[in-house]
Amino acid sequence: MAVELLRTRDCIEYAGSEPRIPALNVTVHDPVTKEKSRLLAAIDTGFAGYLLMRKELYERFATAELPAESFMVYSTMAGPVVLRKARATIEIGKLTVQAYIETPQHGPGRDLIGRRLLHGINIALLGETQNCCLLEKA
Amino acid sequence: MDVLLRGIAKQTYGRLKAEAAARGKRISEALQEAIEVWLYTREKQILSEWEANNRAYLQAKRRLFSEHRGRYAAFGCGRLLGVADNFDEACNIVRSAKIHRSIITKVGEEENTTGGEWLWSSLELATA
Repeated sequence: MAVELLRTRDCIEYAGSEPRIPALNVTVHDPVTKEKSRLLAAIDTGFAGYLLMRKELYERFATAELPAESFMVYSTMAGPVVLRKARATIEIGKLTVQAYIETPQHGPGRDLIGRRLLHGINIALLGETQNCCLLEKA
Repeated sequence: MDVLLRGIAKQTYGRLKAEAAARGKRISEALQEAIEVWLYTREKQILSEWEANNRAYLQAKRRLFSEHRGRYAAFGCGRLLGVADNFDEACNIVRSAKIHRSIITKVGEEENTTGGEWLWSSLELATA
């Protein structure tokens, strides 16, 4: 079995109240206004989407929104949830991707990194030290 | 919570105080109401623009599909702003229109709107 050595970088302390949540710094760029903002987004392996944002923050960066008929519908145990969706450039560590930001069509939303973004990065959750780190080849 | 406000125009504050007194309300209650109305109005404004852009998209959709498939259409202020060959050009169209609410879509791109599973992981403990 091949062994690969990875080095941790850009470690961020878990956020919020106990039990604290692993989170990463994410920078969002609006493709039209070129405005950018850095936010701390919780890692949510249960969320299938891209980057969920609080509604007020989403409104600032959703200049290039998709038509409502292209919004994604997520199935939750409480029923389907529709998320608004806009194109944005998202930076996590050294990774820069053209992806999407999302927010609930109804309700306030939260800052969460979903699986569609998590699949593009290597991270380590260091539970004992309560740190979430990006990984790169050593 | 307590908030200290500086720089409020004397005349505006005087009118607020008089209106609050006439309605038998405290200044804090009147301010709270004013803030809520302001936020509601702002949300309504954003929503109506959003609705207008989506309506314009649906009206133009058939024509766009037959004439501009594969190109990028930009909508704003409730109308089609223009059609571009790529996403960056579409962004330029919106930028030069100096608007902050728009729809940019690739014409004819079949989007799968099935987001997938959203499990229980976003739930947190809350006091009842």
